[in-house]
Amino acid sequence: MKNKNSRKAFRNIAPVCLTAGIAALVFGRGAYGAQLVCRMLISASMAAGLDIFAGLGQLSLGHAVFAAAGAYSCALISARTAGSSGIAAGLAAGTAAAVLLALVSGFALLKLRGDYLALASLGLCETGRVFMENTDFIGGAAGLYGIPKFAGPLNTFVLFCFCATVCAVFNGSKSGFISRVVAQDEEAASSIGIDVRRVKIAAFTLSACITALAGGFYGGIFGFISPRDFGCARSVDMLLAVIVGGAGTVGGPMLAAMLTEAFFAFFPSAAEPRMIIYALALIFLTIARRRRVAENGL
Amino acid sequence: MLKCENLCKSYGGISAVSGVNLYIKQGESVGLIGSNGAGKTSLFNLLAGFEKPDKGEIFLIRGGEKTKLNGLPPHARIKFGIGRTFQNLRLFKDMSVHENILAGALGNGQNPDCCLHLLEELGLFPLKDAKAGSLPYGSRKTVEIARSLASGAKLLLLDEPAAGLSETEALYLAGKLKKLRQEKNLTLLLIEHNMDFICGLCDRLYAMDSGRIVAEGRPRSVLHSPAVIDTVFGGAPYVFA
Repeated sequence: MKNKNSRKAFRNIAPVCLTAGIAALVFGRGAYGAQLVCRMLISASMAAGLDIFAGLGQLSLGHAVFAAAGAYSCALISARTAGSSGIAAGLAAGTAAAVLLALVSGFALLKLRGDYLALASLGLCETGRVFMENTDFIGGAAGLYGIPKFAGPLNTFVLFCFCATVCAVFNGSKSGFISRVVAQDEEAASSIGIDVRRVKIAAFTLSACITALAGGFYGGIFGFISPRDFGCARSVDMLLAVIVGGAGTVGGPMLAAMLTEAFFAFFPSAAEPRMIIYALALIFLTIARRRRVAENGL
Repeated sequence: MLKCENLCKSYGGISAVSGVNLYIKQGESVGLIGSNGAGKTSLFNLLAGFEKPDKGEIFLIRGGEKTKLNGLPPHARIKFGIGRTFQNLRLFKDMSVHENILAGALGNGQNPDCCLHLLEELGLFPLKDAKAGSLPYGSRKTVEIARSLASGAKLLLLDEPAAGLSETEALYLAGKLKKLRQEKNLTLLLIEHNMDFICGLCDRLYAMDSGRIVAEGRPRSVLHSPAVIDTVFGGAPYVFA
């Protein structure tokens, strides 16, 4: 069973990794192309992170806060410690900060489920934004400058493959199987000995960890980050990729995130009314999959 | 094996379970009957840990050792061998039959090898790759029982196992449960409205009305008791098929 699930999980990510590799080779030339590829791959990695939690059948609108934790921690440390050791230390610190934040917030948030959890996580995201905007130590509303520009198509592709592999390994593991069981029916899962809350907190933490790692790379694209980069729109971007790509499939959300990023890069005039486009996309999806939504939820 | 003392549970001032005392011996098969709304499922939820009692205590007695179960969540109660099925089937419907049973084994840290044995024992082996949601109702009931057994349940709380089954299916299920009880030394507590089914399977019955136990004893004596005739059968004595 484990091997069957692992094979299925890796079959899901292999074509997406190949597509990402080709995109990196084709578009990754020139400064703008390289930035676009980095943004595509980082968004896809963040979506992969959220997908682990969405695989539990739960929706979070607060994952931007974990990306911010990763980005700000990495930016603060790498800006003060020169060289690759500073970047590595920054990424590690960002991941650790996100784990801590996920454990603390998850303890309270994960008592909720469904719409209530989505709304509470939105509150977490907004709290994060207000904190970032009003804390001078991390640059306040103006943001942080002077971050080493270490993110390039090659290392973001490595990040992409790493995140995809972690998600595929998780999905193919016993923990992934237990997560799918919890997603199907929490009370039935509880009746057969599964500690549902513990499973949720573990998945939430792993999910935050991957999102934060990708967030750490985000600051390395432009050398600058601000609270605007990690507002609710970022959470919605991730969530939309997961819904469009298919929650729990890893490859689907990653591909959807890449395509969304590319779409707005090629059609910049569409970026401003993106929330209208997202709303229309969700309405279309709901109509197209109405039977599935009616039976199983999103 | 299981003992409840003065168990009480109210919902918004309405008493669902009121001062229930109940005991079940190891290896015994006990039935719980009563009209709709009598408090049977509420009592089940208290025993399985899905609800917390307002008052009273639940004990598990094993080898002379008495363990208090109050406050333990459902996933912790299965560690003590208390498993349950649901009145409205709650299978993992997008998963195969095998995966459903495997979930039971893995959920409680049991050996996954027991799954294939259980599939064969309960006649589910030919259906092992079928999606649980696509099965006929009778087979789904059996899968839910198999899943609970895979999780290591020794005291099985069955909520209306024969509901919705044809007479033949109910007879088949009763036979299976009898066999499993003997082979695995299971203790059964079941809620049922099918009196022929419950009398064929149970050593003792409890009858409930308005959250209280109104009769207790051997099945036929309980069914003929005036309190049960009055509250469960609406005044007319039950006639066996």
